[in-house]
Amino acid sequence: MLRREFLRVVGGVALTATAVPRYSMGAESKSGRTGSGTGVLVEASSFADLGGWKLDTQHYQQMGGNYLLAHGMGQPVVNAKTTTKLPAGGEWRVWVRTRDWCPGPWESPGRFRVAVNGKPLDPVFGAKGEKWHWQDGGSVTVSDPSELTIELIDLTGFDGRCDALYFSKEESPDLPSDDLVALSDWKDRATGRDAQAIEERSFDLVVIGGGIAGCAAALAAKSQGLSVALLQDRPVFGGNASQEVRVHTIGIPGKGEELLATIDTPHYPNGSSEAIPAQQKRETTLAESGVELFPHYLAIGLERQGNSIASVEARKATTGEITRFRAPLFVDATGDGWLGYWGGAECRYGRESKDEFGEAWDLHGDLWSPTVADGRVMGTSVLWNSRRTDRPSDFPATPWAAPVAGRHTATAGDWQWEYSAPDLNQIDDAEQIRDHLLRAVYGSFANAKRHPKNATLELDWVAFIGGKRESRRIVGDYLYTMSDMTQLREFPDAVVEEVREIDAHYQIQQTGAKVDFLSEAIFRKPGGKYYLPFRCLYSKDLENLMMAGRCFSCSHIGLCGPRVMKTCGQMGIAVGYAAALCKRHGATPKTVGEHYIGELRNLIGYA
Amino acid sequence: MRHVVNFGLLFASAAMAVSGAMLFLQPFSIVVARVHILVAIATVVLIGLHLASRLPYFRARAGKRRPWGLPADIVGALVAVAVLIVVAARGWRPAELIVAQGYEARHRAQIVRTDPLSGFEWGGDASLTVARKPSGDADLRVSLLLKLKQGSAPPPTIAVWAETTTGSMIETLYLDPRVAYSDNPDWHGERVERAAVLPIWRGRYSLVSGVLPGGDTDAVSGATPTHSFTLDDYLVSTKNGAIVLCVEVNAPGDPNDAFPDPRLGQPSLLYTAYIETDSEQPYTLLELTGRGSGTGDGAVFYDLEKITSAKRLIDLLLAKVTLAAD
Repeated sequence: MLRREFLRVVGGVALTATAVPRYSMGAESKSGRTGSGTGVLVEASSFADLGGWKLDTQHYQQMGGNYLLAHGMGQPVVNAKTTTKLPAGGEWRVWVRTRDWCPGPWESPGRFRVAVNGKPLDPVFGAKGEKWHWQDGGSVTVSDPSELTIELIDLTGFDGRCDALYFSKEESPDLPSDDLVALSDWKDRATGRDAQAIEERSFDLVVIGGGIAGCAAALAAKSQGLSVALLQDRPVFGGNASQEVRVHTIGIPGKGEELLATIDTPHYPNGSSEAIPAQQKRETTLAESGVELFPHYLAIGLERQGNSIASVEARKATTGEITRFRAPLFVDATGDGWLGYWGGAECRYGRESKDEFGEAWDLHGDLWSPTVADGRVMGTSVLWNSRRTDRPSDFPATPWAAPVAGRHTATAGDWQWEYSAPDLNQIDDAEQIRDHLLRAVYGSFANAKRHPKNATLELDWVAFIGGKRESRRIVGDYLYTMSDMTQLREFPDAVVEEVREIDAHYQIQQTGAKVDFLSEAIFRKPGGKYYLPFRCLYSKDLENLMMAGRCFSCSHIGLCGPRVMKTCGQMGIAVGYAAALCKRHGATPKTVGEHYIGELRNLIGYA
Repeated sequence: MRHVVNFGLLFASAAMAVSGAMLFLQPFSIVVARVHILVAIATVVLIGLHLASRLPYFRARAGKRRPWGLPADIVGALVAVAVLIVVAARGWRPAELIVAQGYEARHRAQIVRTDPLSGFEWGGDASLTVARKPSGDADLRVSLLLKLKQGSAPPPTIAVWAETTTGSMIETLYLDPRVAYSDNPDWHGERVERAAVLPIWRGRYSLVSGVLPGGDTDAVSGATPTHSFTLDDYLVSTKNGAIVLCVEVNAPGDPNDAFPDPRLGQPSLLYTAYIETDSEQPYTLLELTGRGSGTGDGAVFYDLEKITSAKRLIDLLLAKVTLAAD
């Protein structure tokens, strides 16, 4: 099984911080800069024309790149193209960083070819090696080094992937791949980024993560006159509510109805294309808000000074450019608690034992809360659907999906299409989890297509961005647990409210089902309105870090109620207003909670 | 009494001759067959009565023995009948030529008879049960229960068959007798092409039989060389086999706005079930899949929005696959 590795880019920040100001990676490959000996690196993320390939930024921290994904749902996608320069003509060796995402006794699903100047290289890529690696592409003879055309030719439509290409005069250049820090450094050198200065930007508040919680935080803070930066690793905002994931927003808006109505979604069926107009509404709201938006920016590390975060560095996904964001306050709305994790704050992951916080529910036993703490969490979803056409169509054979899908048949997937496993981490194994769900989707749809009644069905949309429910949580001054909901506990610093059930998911395989990619929900009614205290929304260890969204301070069960997007949006509003009070009073989030909580509650709407 | 017998014999034998000629020359009709059988029984009874009235004659004639045995006329009649039987049994001319003029002989290709291993039964609650027993190494029994909505009158025409997962017919398990003997049957009082009544079944049947709806033989298309035409090959519990069970249903005279033809009305509907023969679940519901076109080319059309009452003909379509020993 493919194991993950961790990329801690924090150490790399100091290196790039001393660079001179000369910066542009997208154009880099075109200019033919040779940053590493005799080689030229062309990162897939910098391709001029992506064709039908998708730029996947989800797994940068696990595999060291933003790769192109041939997500054609079984139909080969249009070629991705770019041009580059080489320093000289003659014979060049070519390597392609890729992987076979589903190895086994079948033809690999993610096969593709690479063409240079219109001529495909001999090897088929994506057909061997489960780990990300540099596959030897043979050699090409270049007569005109001033413009080299490169194309990625998808052969299957089943999620072939390419991170980068490297042209070298050397027979066996030293190409890092497994050591992701070394890989990151090498890429920066190979593209010349290491010689370029980092742009520095300063704001009153920097929000990392552009899901509903992050958007709400940015909008609330901006409404109070703060200068705000909002960073999102995807090209669109909304996170799980975005048109890339398509979960509808649920929960109550609390006191934030007016604001949340500008970024939420209708209650469409999960996976519906109604997410697209909702996306447009959200983008319009943000564009008109005055918040400075940084779509396609991935936070990669931070600078910690004492117990504070001094700055956060982020790469632009398409160019690799690094920008340093300075601010007195940061909001971690990444969902995965990256800022808290990088900053060394205490974090939690997995399910607490039932005794740690008295969260047992005998009716459901271990499915609800385990006797011994474990690494299970609620899983990631890949939503999907199909459409009926007016003519029969074939779907390619998917023997590689059968070990996951078994005989399961389906023509659409809602929230139940969820995967987690005790030995898989929702952050570190995110690519494997997403791919497992893709196998489930394609295999189940292939099974369904065998029935004549589905002859005219075609896959309409399959998410390639996983919709996570739970991962790392940052510990605050208060840890929210089950009893806070079941006892309807009221807090003097309550800033968020909710009424929905405590909604814990488990994999139905735990109760004997054959498939491991479907989940079931256990609902426990709290019996009324429950509240979240502001103390859950800032780190106890990093004095200028607040949290909004699923990485707030809670236990596993504590997350199960307030984890939905409108509730997370309320958290965002609370920390956005809190940021304004921090600036107004020269306070930290903690002191706002201690001394200005009434003012904060007033701003939110608790008169 | 004698006159009753004589005239009864006249009329009954005439009816028997006419109905026999119809059976001989025309597609099988259950109505004609019923008439023929009943008048034949009546004729036999009347002949019996007639012969009984002639017992003294038979006794007298048989009593006039010659030293070398029975009279020549009796022996001659006996030999003539025996020769007739032998000629018919052996298929010698002119028996062969006469039989060749019969409908069955002239339209053999159009006549569809299901495998003797298949059987069917109509229940009193408008339900049809079709079952296929295994033979040889096969050990699975396939059965199908079709329940019509009560009040579906006149009853629709139905075909049931099994296909491979790639859409090649394996066996016809049931074909409505009203359309089993002709490609141009009398369908509720009118001559209608069978390919218009059950176009999907007819198209599939053409592919495996090579007999086109017009009666011509198609020597070009057909099933793949590896195709097996016996369901037994698929009814083995130890194989990971799969078949598609198909039911085509068409009711006469059900026109609507989209399908106004007063005879054919709405097209036939196809119901299917994908059945994995080693599945732990023995029951599978057949689901509405598409409609026929009336062209008989086997094409399935999937636009069902304009189908109205035809969708309501069927109450239940349930397939069951079990070990035959169960």
